[in-house]
Amino acid sequence: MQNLPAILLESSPVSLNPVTSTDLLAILPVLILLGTGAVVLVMDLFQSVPAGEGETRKPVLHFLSILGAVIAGAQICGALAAPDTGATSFFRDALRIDKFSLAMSLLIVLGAAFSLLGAADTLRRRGLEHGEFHALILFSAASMILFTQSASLIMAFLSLETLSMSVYVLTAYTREEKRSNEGALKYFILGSLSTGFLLLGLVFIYGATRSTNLVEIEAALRGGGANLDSPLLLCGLALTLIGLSFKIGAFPFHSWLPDAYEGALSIVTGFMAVTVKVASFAVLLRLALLFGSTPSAGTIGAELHASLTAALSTLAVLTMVFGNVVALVQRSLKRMLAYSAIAHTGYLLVGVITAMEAKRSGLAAGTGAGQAVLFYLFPYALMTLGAFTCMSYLGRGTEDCESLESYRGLGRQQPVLALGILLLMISFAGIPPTAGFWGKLLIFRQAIDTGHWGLALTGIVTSVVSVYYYLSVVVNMYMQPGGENEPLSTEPRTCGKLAILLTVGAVAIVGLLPDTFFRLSMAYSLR
Amino acid sequence: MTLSLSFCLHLSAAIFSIGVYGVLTRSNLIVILMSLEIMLNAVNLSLVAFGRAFLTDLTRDPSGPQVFVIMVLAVAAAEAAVGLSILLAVYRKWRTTNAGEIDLLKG
Repeated sequence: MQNLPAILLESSPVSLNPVTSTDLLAILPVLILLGTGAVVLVMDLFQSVPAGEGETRKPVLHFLSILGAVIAGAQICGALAAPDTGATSFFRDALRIDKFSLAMSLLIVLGAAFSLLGAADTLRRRGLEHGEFHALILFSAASMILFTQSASLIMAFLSLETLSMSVYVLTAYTREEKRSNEGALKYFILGSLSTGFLLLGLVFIYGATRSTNLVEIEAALRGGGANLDSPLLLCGLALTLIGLSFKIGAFPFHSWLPDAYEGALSIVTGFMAVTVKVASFAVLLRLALLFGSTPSAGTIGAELHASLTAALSTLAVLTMVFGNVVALVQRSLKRMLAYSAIAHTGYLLVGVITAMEAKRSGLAAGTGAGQAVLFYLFPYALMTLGAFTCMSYLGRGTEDCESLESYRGLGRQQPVLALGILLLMISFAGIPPTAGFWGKLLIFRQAIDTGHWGLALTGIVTSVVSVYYYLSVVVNMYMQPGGENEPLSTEPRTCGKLAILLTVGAVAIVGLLPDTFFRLSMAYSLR
Repeated sequence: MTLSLSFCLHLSAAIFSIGVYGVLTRSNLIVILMSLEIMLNAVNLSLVAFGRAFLTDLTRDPSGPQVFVIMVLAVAAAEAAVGLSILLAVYRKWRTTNAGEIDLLKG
């Protein structure tokens, strides 16, 4: 007993701060999403089942859930527009809200709103309109927001787990389909494996720095690591990186991704491709800047920086090459976009490395790090949502329009839609002057500025390779006879049309006005 | 006799590796789920070890590792629930719990 600290023996050692209204106000968007999800879930019980074929049976579910997402998005926009007061901590430092995490949260809510909008038609067509779908999308969006804002290792772990579990179930949503079951199973097993690695990594970091709080960990690093156990810290960092690499689908840890993307409903694939990636990159960027760019009195800072740069560069090169090369031989558009998602992870990793360099060499006043990642993610999110919405919009019966062959002759049958897909594909490929081009330009430019010539060169060469497979979609639409394709059925698809119109329109606007969005991403970058 | 922190961490890493090995090599899905649980429990072991080691650190609230352990236990339970329900959905359509036979998605 004698070596127990005094804190245990005193009567009231820890002052228990109650949750204040400021705390609750700060997470209002999360509460709105959770509340809407719960309401939708309960409301579904009281909806009477079907009138007839071909009409929306449960319009209230769609309307309510989209409304919830839009209100949450408006809340976040309001907070973004408010004058910058730096980062503020809530819930006894469990959450840390700054402009960067708000911008990432906005992307996540945007992804949720567009997925819900696009899902209305496809769920009705397949007779899958259940409240669970909307609730799961809203719940996972809420936990993703908490993940991007988490400032404590425990909070990060908990929110990552809640978001992953919602997405596992969403992948398995079409449970009468063998492919969906298989995709969800693979996603669950490899996702849980990655959770194990991540958790062990976080615990080792905790053990080495003796704190779960990111601010205190930074202070411990700054202090020169006098009482830091450096092998333990390096081990923990490596394990955490492996865990996050699974979530973003970086090369040696990607094997779940194509199967999960193919097995899920197209709309769900679009949702998880966008939001899981945005949330994971937000946290990866924060951790990379914390461990890779904190100046320390001792050697620990330089050591961490060197190992992190080496590890991330290797991952980035492998991911860019692998994703683009394997995408070349795919015959299914959905699987091709899955491999292209892996390739885009590679480009984003280059953005993380340059952010680390920029932060380390000292930021000019008023600027932050990671604006390239932010600037890349915004149009990428819109393009991905648009492409997967098109896929489910063009579907017939219970099938989504997945194979490349099924796009033959689309240019003649649906000229306006084909034009939209054309814009999305050339934007994915990064042909100027599209949104995808500006994003890649900024990332490669920064890579060259910070001296990472090899990364920039790999990125440019693999981007050129990617033009081939993106344009093969366009070739199929315009230059192949579309004999065997039956035209779309005449069911109303207003929601899908609206979702495609908005995403494609936004991609076009970002492509035409890159300056505005560049300034925005500068303002919202990580300080 | 007291166990050193380093001993506990090595033991935890060994158990964790057994879990990873099980997930990667076994073909029975139930055994894979069990291996996932072993991994999380191995992490809990190292958390408890840290909790004991931190007791001597007077500057910190010593309840941190214990709180972490409880959270991990809760998450492990939720994960098992989701995993078993996905497994049940798979078994209903595929009529097998052998991971090797579930191979529709390729390429």
